[in-house]
Amino acid sequence: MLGKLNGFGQLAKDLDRIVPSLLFGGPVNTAVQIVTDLQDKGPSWSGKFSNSWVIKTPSKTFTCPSPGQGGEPRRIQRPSVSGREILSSQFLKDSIIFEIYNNSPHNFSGVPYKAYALDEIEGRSYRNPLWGLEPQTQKGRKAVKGSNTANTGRKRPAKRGDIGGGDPNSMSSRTAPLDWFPTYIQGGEINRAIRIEMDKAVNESKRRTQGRLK
Amino acid sequence: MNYQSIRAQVENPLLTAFGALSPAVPVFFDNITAAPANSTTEYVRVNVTFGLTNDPTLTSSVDNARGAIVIRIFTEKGKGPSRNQTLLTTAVDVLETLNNGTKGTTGTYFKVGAINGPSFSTTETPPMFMGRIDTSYVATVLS
Repeated sequence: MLGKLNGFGQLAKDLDRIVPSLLFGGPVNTAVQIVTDLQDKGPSWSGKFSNSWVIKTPSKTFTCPSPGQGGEPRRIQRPSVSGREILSSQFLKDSIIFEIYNNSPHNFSGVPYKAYALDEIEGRSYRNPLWGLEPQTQKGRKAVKGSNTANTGRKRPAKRGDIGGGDPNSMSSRTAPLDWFPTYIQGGEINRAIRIEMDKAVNESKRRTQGRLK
Repeated sequence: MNYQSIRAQVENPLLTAFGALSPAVPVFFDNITAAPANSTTEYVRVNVTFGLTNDPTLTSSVDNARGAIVIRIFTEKGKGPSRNQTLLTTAVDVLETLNNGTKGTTGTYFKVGAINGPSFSTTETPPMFMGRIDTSYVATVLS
Protein backbone atom coordinates (compact mmCIF):
# COMPACT_ATOMS: atom_id res chain seq x y z
CA MET A 1 0.00 0.00 0.00
CA LEU A 2 2.72 2.37 1.04
CA GLY A 3 4.60 1.45 -2.08
CA LYS A 4 1.59 2.37 -4.21
CA LEU A 5 1.21 5.67 -2.38
CA ASN A 6 4.87 6.35 -2.93
CA GLY A 7 4.29 5.54 -6.59
CA PHE A 8 1.51 8.10 -6.77
CA GLY A 9 3.73 10.61 -5.00
CA GLN A 10 6.48 10.03 -7.52
CA LEU A 11 3.95 10.32 -10.35
CA ALA A 12 2.73 13.66 -8.98
CA LYS A 13 6.32 14.89 -8.77
CA ASP A 14 7.04 13.66 -12.26
CA LEU A 15 3.92 15.35 -13.61
CA ASP A 16 4.99 18.56 -11.93
CA ARG A 17 8.30 18.24 -13.69
CA ILE A 18 7.02 17.47 -17.16
CA VAL A 19 3.91 19.63 -17.30
CA PRO A 20 5.91 22.87 -17.53
CA SER A 21 8.18 21.37 -20.16
CA LEU A 22 5.56 19.84 -22.40
CA LEU A 23 2.43 21.91 -21.98
CA PHE A 24 3.95 25.30 -21.44
CA GLY A 25 7.70 25.32 -21.94
CA GLY A 26 7.58 23.57 -25.30
CA PRO A 27 4.98 25.81 -26.95
CA VAL A 28 6.30 29.00 -25.34
CA ASN A 29 9.88 28.24 -26.33
CA THR A 30 8.61 27.46 -29.81
CA ALA A 31 6.77 30.76 -29.95
CA VAL A 32 9.82 32.64 -28.67
CA GLN A 33 12.01 30.94 -31.28
CA ILE A 34 9.51 31.81 -34.03
CA VAL A 35 9.50 35.47 -32.95
CA THR A 36 13.31 35.44 -32.89
CA ASP A 37 13.29 34.04 -36.44
CA LEU A 38 10.75 36.64 -37.55
CA GLN A 39 12.89 39.42 -36.06
CA ASP A 40 15.97 38.08 -37.82
CA LYS A 41 14.34 37.50 -41.20
CA GLY A 42 12.07 40.54 -41.27
CA PRO A 43 12.83 44.12 -42.22
CA SER A 44 14.41 46.57 -39.82
CA TRP A 45 14.59 50.24 -40.72
CA SER A 46 13.68 52.02 -37.50
CA GLY A 47 13.30 48.74 -35.60
CA LYS A 48 9.75 49.55 -34.48
CA PHE A 49 8.26 46.66 -36.47
CA SER A 50 10.70 44.01 -35.30
CA ASN A 51 10.18 45.07 -31.68
CA SER A 52 6.39 44.82 -31.90
CA TRP A 53 5.93 41.05 -31.91
CA VAL A 54 3.62 39.70 -29.23
CA ILE A 55 3.07 36.15 -27.94
CA LYS A 56 -0.34 35.70 -26.37
CA THR A 57 -0.98 32.57 -24.31
CA PRO A 58 -4.19 31.68 -22.47
CA SER A 59 -2.76 33.10 -19.26
CA LYS A 60 -0.11 35.64 -20.20
CA THR A 61 1.04 38.00 -22.91
CA PHE A 62 4.72 38.36 -23.68
CA THR A 63 6.31 41.27 -25.53
CA CYS A 64 9.79 42.49 -26.32
CA PRO A 65 11.29 44.89 -23.80
CA SER A 66 10.01 48.40 -24.70
CA PRO A 67 7.55 47.12 -27.30
CA GLY A 68 7.03 49.26 -30.40
CA GLN A 69 10.18 51.27 -29.82
CA GLY A 70 12.97 51.48 -32.38
CA GLY A 71 16.40 49.96 -32.21
CA GLU A 72 18.02 46.58 -32.73
CA PRO A 73 15.70 43.57 -32.31
CA ARG A 74 15.12 42.93 -28.61
CA ARG A 75 14.28 39.33 -27.77
CA ILE A 76 11.26 38.18 -25.83
CA GLN A 77 12.49 36.59 -22.60
CA ARG A 78 11.65 32.93 -22.06
CA PRO A 79 9.46 32.75 -18.94
CA SER A 80 9.94 30.22 -16.15
CA VAL A 81 6.71 28.73 -14.75
CA SER A 82 6.15 25.69 -12.51
CA GLY A 83 3.72 22.89 -13.32
CA ARG A 84 1.51 23.70 -10.33
CA GLU A 85 1.24 27.33 -11.42
CA ILE A 86 0.15 26.23 -14.86
CA LEU A 87 -2.35 23.66 -13.59
CA SER A 88 -3.89 26.16 -11.17
CA SER A 89 -4.17 28.91 -13.76
CA GLN A 90 -6.68 29.39 -16.53
CA PHE A 91 -4.18 27.68 -18.76
CA LEU A 92 -5.87 24.29 -18.99
CA LYS A 93 -9.48 25.39 -18.54
CA ASP A 94 -9.94 26.32 -22.15
CA SER A 95 -8.35 25.45 -25.43
CA ILE A 96 -4.60 25.92 -25.49
CA ILE A 97 -3.89 28.48 -28.12
CA PHE A 98 -0.69 30.41 -28.60
CA GLU A 99 -1.11 33.47 -30.71
CA ILE A 100 1.75 35.37 -32.33
CA TYR A 101 1.00 38.73 -33.84
CA ASN A 102 2.62 42.05 -34.57
CA ASN A 103 1.31 45.12 -32.79
CA SER A 104 3.35 47.71 -34.67
CA PRO A 105 2.61 51.41 -34.32
CA HIS A 106 0.92 53.38 -37.11
CA ASN A 107 2.57 55.87 -39.43
CA PHE A 108 1.38 59.43 -39.99
CA SER A 109 -1.21 58.18 -42.50
CA GLY A 110 -2.70 55.87 -39.90
CA VAL A 111 -1.40 52.72 -41.60
CA PRO A 112 0.38 50.22 -39.33
CA TYR A 113 4.03 49.65 -40.20
CA LYS A 114 3.34 45.93 -40.38
CA ALA A 115 1.18 46.34 -43.49
CA TYR A 116 4.26 47.57 -45.38
CA ALA A 117 6.73 45.31 -43.56
CA LEU A 118 4.73 42.19 -44.45
CA ASP A 119 4.44 43.36 -48.10
CA GLU A 120 0.68 43.46 -47.81
CA ILE A 121 0.14 46.90 -49.31
CA GLU A 122 1.99 49.19 -51.65
CA GLY A 123 3.50 52.47 -50.65
CA ARG A 124 5.89 55.18 -51.74
CA SER A 125 9.03 54.48 -49.78
CA TYR A 126 11.81 57.01 -50.00
CA ARG A 127 14.70 58.10 -47.87
CA ASN A 128 14.47 61.45 -46.16
CA PRO A 129 15.87 63.11 -43.06
CA LEU A 130 12.66 62.36 -41.16
CA TRP A 131 12.73 58.56 -41.62
CA GLY A 132 16.50 58.47 -41.85
CA LEU A 133 18.79 58.49 -44.86
CA GLU A 134 19.90 54.97 -44.00
CA PRO A 135 18.51 52.18 -41.80
CA GLN A 136 18.62 53.17 -38.16
CA THR A 137 19.56 49.70 -36.99
CA GLN A 138 22.78 47.80 -37.50
CA LYS A 139 20.72 44.84 -38.68
CA GLY A 140 19.10 46.99 -41.36
CA ARG A 141 22.36 48.58 -42.49
CA LYS A 142 23.93 45.14 -42.82
CA ALA A 143 20.95 43.82 -44.77
CA VAL A 144 20.86 46.53 -47.45
CA LYS A 145 24.33 45.59 -48.66
CA GLY A 146 24.60 43.19 -51.57
CA SER A 147 21.50 41.71 -53.17
CA ASN A 148 19.15 43.99 -51.28
CA THR A 149 20.20 47.10 -53.20
CA ALA A 150 19.21 47.94 -56.80
CA ASN A 151 20.88 50.46 -59.08
CA THR A 152 17.53 51.98 -60.04
CA GLY A 153 14.85 53.60 -57.93
CA ARG A 154 11.59 52.01 -56.91
CA LYS A 155 8.47 51.92 -58.98
CA ARG A 156 5.91 54.20 -57.40
CA PRO A 157 3.91 52.83 -55.81
CA ALA A 158 5.62 49.59 -54.90
CA LYS A 159 5.72 47.02 -52.16
CA ARG A 160 8.43 47.44 -49.56
CA GLY A 161 10.48 44.52 -50.82
CA ASP A 162 10.06 45.31 -54.51
CA ILE A 163 13.17 47.31 -55.40
CA GLY A 164 14.38 48.58 -58.76
CA GLY A 165 12.43 49.16 -61.95
CA GLY A 166 12.01 52.89 -61.39
CA ASP A 167 14.13 56.01 -61.88
CA PRO A 168 17.45 54.97 -63.53
CA ASN A 169 19.21 57.89 -61.83
CA SER A 170 18.35 56.64 -58.38
CA MET A 171 18.94 53.64 -56.16
CA SER A 172 16.67 51.61 -53.95
CA SER A 173 17.17 49.12 -51.16
CA ARG A 174 15.34 46.94 -48.70
CA THR A 175 16.21 45.39 -45.37
CA ALA A 176 14.46 42.05 -46.09
CA PRO A 177 13.50 40.29 -49.33
CA LEU A 178 10.06 40.57 -50.86
CA ASP A 179 7.59 38.10 -49.34
CA TRP A 180 9.95 37.10 -46.54
CA PHE A 181 6.98 36.41 -44.27
CA PRO A 182 5.02 33.87 -46.38
CA THR A 183 8.33 32.24 -47.27
CA TYR A 184 9.07 31.67 -43.58
CA ILE A 185 5.55 30.51 -42.79
CA GLN A 186 4.93 28.41 -45.89
CA GLY A 187 8.44 27.35 -46.79
CA GLY A 188 8.89 24.87 -43.97
CA GLU A 189 11.12 26.90 -41.66
CA ILE A 190 8.39 27.49 -39.08
CA ASN A 191 7.67 23.75 -39.02
CA ARG A 192 11.34 23.09 -38.38
CA ALA A 193 11.39 25.60 -35.50
CA ILE A 194 8.34 23.92 -33.95
CA ARG A 195 9.84 20.45 -34.30
CA ILE A 196 13.20 21.41 -32.81
CA GLU A 197 11.71 23.20 -29.80
CA MET A 198 9.12 20.50 -29.07
CA ASP A 199 11.80 17.81 -29.36
CA LYS A 200 13.83 19.76 -26.81
CA ALA A 201 10.78 19.88 -24.50
CA VAL A 202 10.22 16.13 -24.80
CA ASN A 203 13.89 15.41 -24.15
CA GLU A 204 13.85 17.78 -21.17
CA SER A 205 10.83 15.99 -19.67
CA LYS A 206 12.56 12.62 -20.14
CA ARG A 207 15.65 13.98 -18.44
CA ARG A 208 13.67 15.39 -15.51
CA THR A 209 11.81 12.15 -14.89
CA GLN A 210 14.95 10.10 -15.51
CA GLY A 211 13.04 8.03 -18.07
CA ARG A 212 10.21 6.97 -15.73
CA LEU A 213 7.59 8.55 -18.02
CA LYS A 214 7.82 7.69 -21.70
CA MET B 1 17.64 20.04 -57.77
CA ASN B 2 15.98 21.71 -60.70
CA TYR B 3 14.55 24.99 -59.52
CA GLN B 4 13.63 25.91 -63.05
CA SER B 5 11.29 22.95 -63.41
CA ILE B 6 9.67 23.74 -60.06
CA ARG B 7 9.06 27.32 -61.08
CA ALA B 8 7.69 26.19 -64.43
CA GLN B 9 5.14 23.99 -62.69
CA VAL B 10 3.35 27.02 -61.32
CA GLU B 11 4.26 29.77 -63.77
CA ASN B 12 3.26 28.04 -67.01
CA PRO B 13 -0.33 27.18 -66.01
CA LEU B 14 -0.89 30.68 -64.62
CA LEU B 15 0.47 32.28 -67.78
CA THR B 16 -1.75 30.06 -69.92
CA ALA B 17 -4.87 30.66 -67.83
CA PHE B 18 -4.58 34.45 -67.76
CA GLY B 19 -3.52 34.51 -71.40
CA ALA B 20 -6.67 32.63 -72.35
CA LEU B 21 -8.93 35.27 -70.84
CA SER B 22 -10.54 37.79 -73.12
CA PRO B 23 -8.94 40.26 -72.99
CA ALA B 24 -5.74 38.52 -71.89
CA VAL B 25 -4.34 39.74 -68.59
CA PRO B 26 -0.55 40.23 -68.44
CA VAL B 27 1.30 38.23 -65.80
CA PHE B 28 4.64 39.35 -64.37
CA PHE B 29 6.93 36.93 -62.58
CA ASP B 30 10.03 37.34 -60.42
CA ASN B 31 12.85 39.44 -61.82
CA ILE B 32 10.65 40.98 -64.48
CA THR B 33 10.47 44.67 -63.86
CA ALA B 34 8.01 45.42 -66.61
CA ALA B 35 5.07 45.63 -64.21
CA PRO B 36 3.72 49.03 -65.09
CA ALA B 37 4.22 51.71 -62.47
CA ASN B 38 1.15 53.89 -62.05
CA SER B 39 -0.65 51.73 -64.56
CA THR B 40 -4.40 51.84 -64.63
CA THR B 41 -4.70 48.62 -66.60
CA GLU B 42 -5.08 45.37 -64.72
CA TYR B 43 -2.23 42.92 -64.34
CA VAL B 44 -1.08 39.99 -62.23
CA ARG B 45 2.13 39.64 -60.28
CA VAL B 46 3.36 36.19 -59.25
CA ASN B 47 6.23 35.63 -56.82
CA VAL B 48 7.55 32.13 -56.22
CA THR B 49 9.88 31.89 -53.23
CA PHE B 50 11.91 28.96 -51.95
CA GLY B 51 12.04 28.09 -48.26
CA LEU B 52 13.72 24.84 -47.29
CA THR B 53 15.21 23.02 -50.24
CA ASN B 54 15.50 19.80 -48.32
CA ASP B 55 15.00 18.72 -44.78
CA PRO B 56 16.83 15.44 -44.03
CA THR B 57 14.83 14.79 -40.85
CA LEU B 58 11.62 14.78 -42.85
CA THR B 59 12.77 12.93 -45.91
CA SER B 60 15.87 11.33 -47.27
CA SER B 61 15.23 12.94 -50.64
CA VAL B 62 17.50 15.81 -51.46
CA ASP B 63 15.31 16.93 -54.34
CA ASN B 64 12.48 18.13 -52.19
CA ALA B 65 11.77 21.84 -52.10
CA ARG B 66 9.22 23.87 -50.19
CA GLY B 67 8.25 27.46 -50.51
CA ALA B 68 5.52 29.99 -51.03
CA ILE B 69 3.54 31.27 -53.98
CA VAL B 70 2.21 34.80 -53.68
CA ILE B 71 -0.21 36.04 -56.31
CA ARG B 72 -1.26 39.67 -56.43
CA ILE B 73 -4.02 40.82 -58.75
CA PHE B 74 -4.18 44.49 -59.64
CA THR B 75 -7.41 45.91 -61.03
CA GLU B 76 -8.84 49.34 -61.52
CA LYS B 77 -9.44 51.27 -58.33
CA GLY B 78 -12.85 52.60 -57.45
CA LYS B 79 -14.81 50.00 -59.40
CA GLY B 80 -15.61 47.54 -56.62
CA PRO B 81 -14.03 44.15 -55.96
CA SER B 82 -15.91 42.15 -58.59
CA ARG B 83 -13.32 42.17 -61.37
CA ASN B 84 -10.51 41.50 -58.92
CA GLN B 85 -12.35 38.55 -57.45
CA THR B 86 -13.06 37.15 -60.92
CA LEU B 87 -9.33 37.16 -61.69
CA LEU B 88 -8.55 35.71 -58.26
CA THR B 89 -10.88 32.83 -59.09
CA THR B 90 -8.79 32.09 -62.17
CA ALA B 91 -5.65 31.99 -60.05
CA VAL B 92 -7.24 29.79 -57.37
CA ASP B 93 -8.53 27.39 -60.03
CA VAL B 94 -5.01 27.02 -61.42
CA LEU B 95 -3.54 26.37 -57.97
CA GLU B 96 -6.19 23.78 -57.20
CA THR B 97 -5.59 22.07 -60.53
CA LEU B 98 -1.90 21.71 -59.64
CA ASN B 99 -2.92 19.25 -56.95
CA ASN B 100 -4.47 16.93 -59.56
CA GLY B 101 -1.06 15.83 -60.80
CA THR B 102 -0.01 12.26 -60.09
CA LYS B 103 3.41 11.19 -58.96
CA GLY B 104 5.25 9.40 -61.74
CA THR B 105 8.84 8.35 -62.09
CA THR B 106 10.10 11.40 -63.93
CA GLY B 107 9.43 15.11 -63.96
CA THR B 108 8.46 17.26 -61.02
CA TYR B 109 5.73 16.34 -58.58
CA PHE B 110 4.07 19.48 -57.25
CA LYS B 111 1.49 19.99 -54.51
CA VAL B 112 0.14 23.19 -53.04
CA GLY B 113 -1.24 23.64 -49.53
CA ALA B 114 -4.07 25.70 -48.12
CA ILE B 115 -4.66 28.96 -49.90
CA ASN B 116 -4.63 32.02 -47.66
CA GLY B 117 -6.85 34.91 -48.60
CA PRO B 118 -7.89 36.70 -50.59
CA SER B 119 -7.07 39.91 -48.83
CA PHE B 120 -7.70 43.24 -50.48
CA SER B 121 -5.99 46.55 -50.07
CA THR B 122 -5.77 49.98 -51.51
CA THR B 123 -4.52 53.27 -50.17
CA GLU B 124 -4.98 56.82 -51.31
CA THR B 125 -1.93 57.09 -53.51
CA PRO B 126 -1.66 53.84 -55.46
CA PRO B 127 -3.90 53.86 -58.50
CA MET B 128 -4.85 50.17 -58.31
CA PHE B 129 -6.94 47.88 -56.14
CA MET B 130 -4.94 44.83 -55.04
CA GLY B 131 -6.17 41.35 -54.16
CA ARG B 132 -3.67 38.89 -52.76
CA ILE B 133 -3.55 35.16 -52.09
CA ASP B 134 -0.68 33.01 -50.96
CA THR B 135 -0.10 29.33 -50.49
CA SER B 136 2.62 26.86 -49.67
CA TYR B 137 4.00 24.24 -52.02
CA VAL B 138 6.04 21.09 -51.86
CA ALA B 139 7.85 20.04 -55.01
CA THR B 140 9.75 16.83 -55.60
CA VAL B 141 12.08 16.60 -58.56
CA LEU B 142 11.91 12.97 -59.66
CA SER B 143 14.50 13.03 -62.42
